[in-house]
Amino acid sequence: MVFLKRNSFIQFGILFLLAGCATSSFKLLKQDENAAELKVTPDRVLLECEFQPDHDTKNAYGFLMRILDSENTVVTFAQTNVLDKVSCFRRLQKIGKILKTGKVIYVGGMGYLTKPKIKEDLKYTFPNIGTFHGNGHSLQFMVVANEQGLCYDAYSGDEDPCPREPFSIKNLK
Amino acid sequence: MAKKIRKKITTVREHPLRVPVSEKNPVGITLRDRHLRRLKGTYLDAAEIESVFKNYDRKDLVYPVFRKLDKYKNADNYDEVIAIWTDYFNKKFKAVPPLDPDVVKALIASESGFRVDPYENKKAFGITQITPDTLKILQDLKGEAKDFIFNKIHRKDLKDPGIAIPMGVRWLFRKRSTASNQLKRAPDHEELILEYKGLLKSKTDLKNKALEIYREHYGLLKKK
Repeated sequence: MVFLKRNSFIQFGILFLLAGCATSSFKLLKQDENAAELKVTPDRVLLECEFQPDHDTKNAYGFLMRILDSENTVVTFAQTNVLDKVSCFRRLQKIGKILKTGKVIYVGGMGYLTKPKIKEDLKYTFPNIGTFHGNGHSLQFMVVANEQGLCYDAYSGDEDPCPREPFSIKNLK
Repeated sequence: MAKKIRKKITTVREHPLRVPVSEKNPVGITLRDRHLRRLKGTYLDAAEIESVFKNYDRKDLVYPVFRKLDKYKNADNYDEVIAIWTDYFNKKFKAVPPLDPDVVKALIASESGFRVDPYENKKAFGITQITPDTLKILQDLKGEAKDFIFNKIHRKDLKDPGIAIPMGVRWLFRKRSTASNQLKRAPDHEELILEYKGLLKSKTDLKNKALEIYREHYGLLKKK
């Protein structure tokens, strides 16, 4: 019985630690002229390959990453060159692995996160957190990485160096 | 005496053509079908592109604004190529209003982030993200861009910004026509960029985001 009590105490401790580590968070690390870096927990990131039905070519997709910020509004990082289905879904898979294996996610993009927000009509649902409006911030997706060293660049994938200038993951840990 | 005007011949009749002697063709002569003639000044191949760039009159050339997108590595490296080919096609198509080289620079930022070979996209190639279909159209003597085409440009050549940029600028001029047809008026630079990206008719979120991001880049270039 004593052992069980001790065991449940240990279990509670582990759960407490896990919950502590998994606290949902968002932090803007750096905002330079036209370049922003942030770190966020994976629960605040949604990935999307949006089908482009009116595109001239068949199977055109757009890659979009939605991130829930500290004020519970949604920022969009978009890859603005249209992709084919295979390229987009492969990217979804690779970035999905970064989100799955990381506790802290680093995202770099071109644009501003410090401009005034605009409440968008579009809403996005983050599992276990809720549904929130877009805030009008749109950045060009450049890089995503996690504290385990997994990294994905918008144009050169996981090939070294990743991330590339002007982004770095030194602020991540 | 009246000057003799040479008639432009645009087709070549079927004719014999020398080919390397082989087992299949021991005579070394084959019959070439009737085909269109590529007239000088109506197309560009790699050598001609290089020659135009090298010998271009740079006097009064309008360059894109520099040091405004410098968070992109290499953002200003292609300013001269952009300036020359924008001017070249503005003159070639007598464009009114002329295409602004800053539009081309902001487009490149949004297409490839100034990476010469963004290979993670298997659908489009080079700094201006030319698709295989576009590459084909831009070299098709009978295609939609037949009024000015390229010749013998291969997919691998698009890794060279010296080739990908003139092709991208040429395609922008084609897109100006297709956007005009759709809108029944001349497109503004934002509509032109959306047409280049194949998103002008689109109602997707990507269209809105791509437009906002392009606007941001173009705005930076125009910021005093």
